[in-house]
Amino acid sequence: MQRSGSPCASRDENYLRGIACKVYPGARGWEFRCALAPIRGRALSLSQADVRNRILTAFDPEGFRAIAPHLEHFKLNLRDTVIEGNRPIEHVFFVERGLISLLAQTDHGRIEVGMVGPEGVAGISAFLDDGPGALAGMVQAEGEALRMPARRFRELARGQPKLLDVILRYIQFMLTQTGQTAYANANFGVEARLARWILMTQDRLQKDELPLTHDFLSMMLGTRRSSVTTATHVLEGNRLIRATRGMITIRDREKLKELAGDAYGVAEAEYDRLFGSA
Amino acid sequence: MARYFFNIRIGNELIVDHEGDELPDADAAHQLALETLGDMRRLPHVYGEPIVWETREFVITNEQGDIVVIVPFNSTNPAADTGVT
Repeated sequence: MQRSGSPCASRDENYLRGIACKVYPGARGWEFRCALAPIRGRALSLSQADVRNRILTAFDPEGFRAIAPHLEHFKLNLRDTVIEGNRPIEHVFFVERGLISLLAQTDHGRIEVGMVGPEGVAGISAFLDDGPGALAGMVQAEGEALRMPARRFRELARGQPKLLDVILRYIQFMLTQTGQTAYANANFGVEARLARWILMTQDRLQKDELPLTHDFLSMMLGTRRSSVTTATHVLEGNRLIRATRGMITIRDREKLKELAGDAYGVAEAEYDRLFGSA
Repeated sequence: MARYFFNIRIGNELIVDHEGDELPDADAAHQLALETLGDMRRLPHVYGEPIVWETREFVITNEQGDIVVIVPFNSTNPAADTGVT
């Protein structure tokens, strides 16, 4: 166990273990040192100012204080299934960094129907009902979440009108996002879907380089893998993206928006209306 | 199992598939190409109208880079076409 004031091996690792780190000037540049040692078995003392998740920051201070003792840091590992479909949801995940895809599971495979990043909560249907939720949640970009038991979340959120208000607004947003995904999949071809998907991913990860395989993209878009190869080639030819093996780099966000048409933007505007722009 | 690469020839241009699919053999690769084309015909709102793409072809290669089969996009496969979405 690390002592207070001892150098930290990894800031991210300590963040996950609930150890606060501070930056100090060191012999070889800046180094992180532990501000306090973790105490096993005790709740994290989280401050609302320290969380990045937009739903957690939208809670009123009193509501956040009620929620905070039940939150625990949880590492989001790429491709982990954090919510099993068709089973009662055990935890809700307030994403701090990274991305969770909500997937409909069919006999032919899985297709993405929703996306949750630091703007949202994965497993929100646990608020509505304690039965099995149909959708699965899979980590699409690694990061961290603050998670809490679904039952506790349901009890607390239903008991406090101010928490309830935030949760209901988020559900309104997710209904809009899911509707827009249905619209995109019913009316738009692979290229436009790909453009929409890249934009939504960039919004949540806040970076231009997205590590993505065509195999993975074909599951996200619900299309054949070879069509993703062609679509990626077309977007690259028009200088919207740069595609290298397993990596897509965004070159022209405005042109991507043009290509995605009104499949992108409606849900995003709804989020801004409900929660204010970031 | 072996890896097969579904490169696509459009006119004089070859779009190279760097990823490929794990499949039992070349026949399975051929079958996957036909199933993909079945989907493409059935769902023009997703993949575009056949007139746009029917002159293309799959140039399927193995891990050694040898061509194992060429499947023109206008190939039909009755078994794949009757599949449900």
